[in-house]
Amino acid sequence: MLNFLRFITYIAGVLVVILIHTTVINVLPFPFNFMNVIFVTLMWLLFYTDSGATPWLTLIFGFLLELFSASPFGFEMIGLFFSVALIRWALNTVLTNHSRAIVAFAGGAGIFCYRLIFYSLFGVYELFHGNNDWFSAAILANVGWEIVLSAAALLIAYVLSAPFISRFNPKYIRARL
Amino acid sequence: MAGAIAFHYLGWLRGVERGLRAILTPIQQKMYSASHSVSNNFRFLKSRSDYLAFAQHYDEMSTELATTTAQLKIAWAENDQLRNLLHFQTAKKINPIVAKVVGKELDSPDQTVILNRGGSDGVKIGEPAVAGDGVLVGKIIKVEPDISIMRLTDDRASRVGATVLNHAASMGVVEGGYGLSLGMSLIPRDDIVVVGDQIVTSGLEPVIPRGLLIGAVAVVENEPYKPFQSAVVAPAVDLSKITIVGVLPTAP
Repeated sequence: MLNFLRFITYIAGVLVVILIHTTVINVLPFPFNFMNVIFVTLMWLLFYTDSGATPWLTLIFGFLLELFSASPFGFEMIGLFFSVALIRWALNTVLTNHSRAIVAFAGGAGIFCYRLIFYSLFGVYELFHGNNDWFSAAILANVGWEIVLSAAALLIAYVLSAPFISRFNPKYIRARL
Repeated sequence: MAGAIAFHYLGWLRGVERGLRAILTPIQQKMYSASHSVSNNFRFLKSRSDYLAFAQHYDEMSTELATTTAQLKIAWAENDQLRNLLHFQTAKKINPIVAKVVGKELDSPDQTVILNRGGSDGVKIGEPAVAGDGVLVGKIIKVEPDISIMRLTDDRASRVGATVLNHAASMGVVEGGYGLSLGMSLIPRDDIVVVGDQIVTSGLEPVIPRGLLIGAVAVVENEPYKPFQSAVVAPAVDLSKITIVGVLPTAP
């Protein structure tokens, strides 16, 4: 029963996040529509749960994004999965103190890795399709906006949720005790 | 993950994908419609004097009347678009596939939108899409059975062969990536192009018919050291406000 309730909670959570992501993209004006709500949610879950299941959630979000995307199928899933897995590894081995600066840095670095993987795959795809002028400065500007806004959103979410969540970073709290 | 990707290309996930799109597409459509209301209200309230005038006017209206009026305006706008599309269909004897714009692509900064018609309705990759009375607004870049994705003409990757309706019938390429405007390049330097000249499709591309209106020249850039001149083009329609398009089918 507990597993079933947890499953329903996951599905409802995924749909709510997709709804918010769709709202941000369609309703908010430039540049706020570049905020990546899905990535902010995944990063927030990494800080909150420190669970190995979070990178696997990226596959569900990635699959839903692929349904409404013009890029070749699989690129978003691969980019999301490996970037979240990489940031999770970094948070557990390198960026361990989880201060606010690290939260913002991890958010920005995560988006950077995601877009690096995505556009690398996209570049190889376009190369094999004979299209060499797909890259432009506008892509860099758009990624820049996405990094800044998503990192800021993650930091705000972290700061607002920290007082309400008792076990936010067990390793950090144990170290302080 | 590799399994999901492989199953997609084998076609085994088609039913699941269609089911999920059927659930998420109406939500996208609602959000896209809401974006128009938000931007219209924002523009109207931008200046203080407009805000004060609007506040005074709004005091005199009831909330129910305001809601009904907004719904009627949306219906009228859609009706106008459909009527213009019907006029285009009758005049050009082309039977476009009428599609509704349901939202923007979820993970791309490109100027691409999602249409609620797909391969099962006869939409094919590369087909042009028009709005109103035959104004070219984009091209289909991806087709799924139930939806398709259209790249708008103001997207940075959009390129369309075009002709200026001037004395010399100057030819060039209209491309996007200039914010709200379009850019036309490779116009012969000696041709006379003036502000206000209309730009139409040249018909040199196999799937885009000749004569579809794109926009009008807003600024001409003619440097003496360059072999070609260029122009800034104002699109004939507001590409951020289109809700109904007609996809022009190509010959089978």
